[in-house]
Amino acid sequence: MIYLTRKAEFSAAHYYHNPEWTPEENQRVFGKCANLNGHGHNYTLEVTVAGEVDAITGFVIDLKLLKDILNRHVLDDFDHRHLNKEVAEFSNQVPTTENLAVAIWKRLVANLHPARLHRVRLYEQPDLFVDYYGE
Amino acid sequence: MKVYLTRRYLFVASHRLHNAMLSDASNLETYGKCNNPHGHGHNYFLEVTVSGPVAAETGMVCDLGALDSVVTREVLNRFDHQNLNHLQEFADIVPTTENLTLCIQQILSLTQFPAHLEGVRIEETGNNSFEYSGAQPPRR
Repeated sequence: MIYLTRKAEFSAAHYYHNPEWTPEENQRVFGKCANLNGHGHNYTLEVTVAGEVDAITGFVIDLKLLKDILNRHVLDDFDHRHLNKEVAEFSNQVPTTENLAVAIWKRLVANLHPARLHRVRLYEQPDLFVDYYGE
Repeated sequence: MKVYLTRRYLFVASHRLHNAMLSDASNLETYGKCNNPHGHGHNYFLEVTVSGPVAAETGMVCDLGALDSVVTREVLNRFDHQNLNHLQEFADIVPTTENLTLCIQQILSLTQFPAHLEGVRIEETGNNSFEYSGAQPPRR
């Protein structure tokens, strides 16, 4: 079994807000992230796939294909977008890094044949990242 | 559902690798320039990983402010800008980064934590890092 990781970057805006809470509650829990005018990040996404090395190509997965899959299923929708306002998953959930990683996993997991999705790692900033293994 | 969240912190400290049970020659042979009697120092990057389900109402595994305050209180305030050899934690053990990693894991595992502590990782330099996650091997 070989693990292959592809990195990609996207930039997006978001804010944290739970509509069932009062403004004071949102402010208390989410702090600066509750500013409804939004703020943004340069996210770094690392997608790790696992698989066997193909005897003919020597690939676990064609890197160009993997790049196209990431673009089509994630980056085209997320890059230079406002996550709360423009990405379907976040019309009814808070676009935290945790929820973003899970949403990205769900978008990719069925689309990586012949490899298998092993891990989604998403950096919000260099000092904060989230890992999701589909568990 | 289980999501892993890692937060990265910086502290700076000095140390000297020297075991009083060994001869001076043996210390020098074992620890090389790290045995310099005057000590030396590092910028240590500490990564703390917690895990758990994502709370539906907050979208979070763990309140980052709470995590930061525990790590600051229990680890950074204790080790930052210190000589590790002079601390009680290293009175009887050599302050290698292996031992520092175990020590920090031990300190944090005895603390009331805002989420499940999965493990700690320390970069001593850009070329050396050490990782401990209890009985489980680190997730890759």
